[in-house]
Amino acid sequence: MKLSKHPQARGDAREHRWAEQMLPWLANDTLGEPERARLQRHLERCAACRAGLERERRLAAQLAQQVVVPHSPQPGFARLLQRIDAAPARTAPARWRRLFARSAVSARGSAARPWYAVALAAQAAALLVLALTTAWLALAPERAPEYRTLSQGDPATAGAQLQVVFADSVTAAEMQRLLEQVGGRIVSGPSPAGLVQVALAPGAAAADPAAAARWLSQQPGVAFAAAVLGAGAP
Amino acid sequence: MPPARAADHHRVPQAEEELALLRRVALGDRSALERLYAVYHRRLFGFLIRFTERHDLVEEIINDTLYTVWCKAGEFRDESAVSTWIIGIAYRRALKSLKRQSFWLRTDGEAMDAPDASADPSEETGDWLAQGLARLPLEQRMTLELAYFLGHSCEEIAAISGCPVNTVKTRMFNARRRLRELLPQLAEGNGADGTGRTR
Repeated sequence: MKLSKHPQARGDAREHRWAEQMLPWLANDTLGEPERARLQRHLERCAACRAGLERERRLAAQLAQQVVVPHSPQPGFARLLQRIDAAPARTAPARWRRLFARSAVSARGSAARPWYAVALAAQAAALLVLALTTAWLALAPERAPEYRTLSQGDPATAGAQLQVVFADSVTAAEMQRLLEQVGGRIVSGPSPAGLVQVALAPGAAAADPAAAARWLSQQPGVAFAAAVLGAGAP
Repeated sequence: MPPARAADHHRVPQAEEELALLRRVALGDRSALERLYAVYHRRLFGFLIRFTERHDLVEEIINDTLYTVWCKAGEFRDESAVSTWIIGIAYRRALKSLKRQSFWLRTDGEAMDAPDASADPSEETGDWLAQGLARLPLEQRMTLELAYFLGHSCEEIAAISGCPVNTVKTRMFNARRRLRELLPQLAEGNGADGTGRTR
């Protein structure tokens, strides 16, 4: 491509260089409107760029040709699950893993600096008291009417449902196992407080979601579980 | 036909649905992971198989990518699309794996000899184009394929490859210039009949 084919004015030359760089994004139709309009104005007066655009479109058409995928994703997914199960400590959802990591770092730092450990312990104790107070206020039905509002359930999702908060230490595999026990699947969440909404498949648990919630709340991996009021429970 | 959206079938059709799936994956929901795996297995396989004949390597990169998605789903922030985030993970894994392959070892910034035409993994694209592409530095070729095969914007490619937008533009510009030098038939429009073959 020779610049001599283009307007010689300095501004036009700069515009031409810009246009040359932007042609691929016009060819794949991902250019924003202001840039598209600017490029179209340049194309109206630049034959070389019009030819360049055609060339890019030919190349795009060649490259966009679909490659037939010969494999089913299932074997690969099965291998992925095996990998996840083989490393349960590393596969807990990130929210919980980060908490573990912070604890480990704190512990290492504390060992090196005893005074710091005392300060940290005092701070942790204060936070624990605050957290327990908050949790008690949130979970006691008569003291937290706003929680009942939360547990009214999502009208968009019908059927028996539970609200569940899993323990921070639970792994993904344990969470799945617990949910399978009650025929549940996560349909939304988590809320900022870690609350997830669980739909119960038709069956014994769905017939008595309160019993399912009681069972779940007794499990070590569950911090809280309750049936959703008016969500299909008999 | 406007080739502009020729890659539409690779794009995220329902970004909100993918975001919902990712949030469920963050909670440890394996059925959501399975759904996400199915969507991205197809998309990534089609993309990655263009760089290597080794299906096992492609499957390994996909496995690594979705494993990272499983582990880090809770860290995803809405600063980018889910597809940009996941393909960015795949991009980094692929770059690392492909650079380990002797095929991609370079001297003076150039790829080694182009692959044998009989071993071309993308027969429909055409030997001549495949050989030209194989002679591009890997980052340049990745940029070209992200734009024209997966249909990403310049800004999305910058996010995927973790580099400034201007670097993406430069890589793309250099890739196109090199292809023009290597493949004069591209400039003339020969071989653009859908088969890409000139003979």
